[in-house]
Amino acid sequence: MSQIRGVARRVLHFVVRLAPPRTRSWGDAMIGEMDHIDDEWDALLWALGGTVALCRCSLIEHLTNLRKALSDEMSAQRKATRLIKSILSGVAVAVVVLIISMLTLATLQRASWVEPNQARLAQLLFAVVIPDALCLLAALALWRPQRRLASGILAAGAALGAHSIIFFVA
Amino acid sequence: MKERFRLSPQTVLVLDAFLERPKSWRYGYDISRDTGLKSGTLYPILIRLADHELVETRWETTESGKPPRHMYRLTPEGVRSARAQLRDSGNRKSSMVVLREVKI
Repeated sequence: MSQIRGVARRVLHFVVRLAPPRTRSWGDAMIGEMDHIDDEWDALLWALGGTVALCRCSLIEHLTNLRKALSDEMSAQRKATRLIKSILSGVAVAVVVLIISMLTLATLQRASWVEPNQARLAQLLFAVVIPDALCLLAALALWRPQRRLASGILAAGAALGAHSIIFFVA
Repeated sequence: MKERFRLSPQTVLVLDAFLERPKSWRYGYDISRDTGLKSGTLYPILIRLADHELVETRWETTESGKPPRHMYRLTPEGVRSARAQLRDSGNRKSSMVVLREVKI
């Protein structure tokens, strides 16, 4: 093997080693073909042209992979944001239900016709049973079409229920 | 075939070379000599044609001491598509000539 061919081969081998796997097989094809070229200078030109082609293809492939990775990351971020938004919306729905329920309770407690023993029952009913039941029903109804929203409502309802049980037991 | 792609004059040369003997396997250097394209131009075209499944490849083992050669041939879809694309590009060329003549 002449020196020129040796240099050409080494250059091409070096670039092939750095190329991504898909491009590498094409690099091997260029190396294989080079050994069938009789003229030394033609072989060198072949190797140099192949080097340029491999560099270009490798760069394009690296950039494509990078763009894909970035787009995957962005789509994962977008998914996470959507999940958080949905759950927070569910929590907001549960809080609205609780506020309406507590306002009703406050109105009832101020009413003159409510007996003291009925006031305790109303407190239990409007602070725990009705909001929790509404949250549970809403979560069940929304479970299939809006699972994340339903999860938020359910989580808020569960927190409310746990808090109320602790309050009443204490 | 995934999609039609833009035909550069060099791609037309390569497709033309393949269509001369559509059923026979060709070597890279052989195509390079036929078309006058350097390896730096030829291989990106071959890669693109292979990506579009217009060209199939295989390795051919040769006499001892020499590495195997990569060979290329148009797929049946490639033959059909190459003929259609070359016909289209021929039409485009002739219509451009007509337009140029009309402008003149």
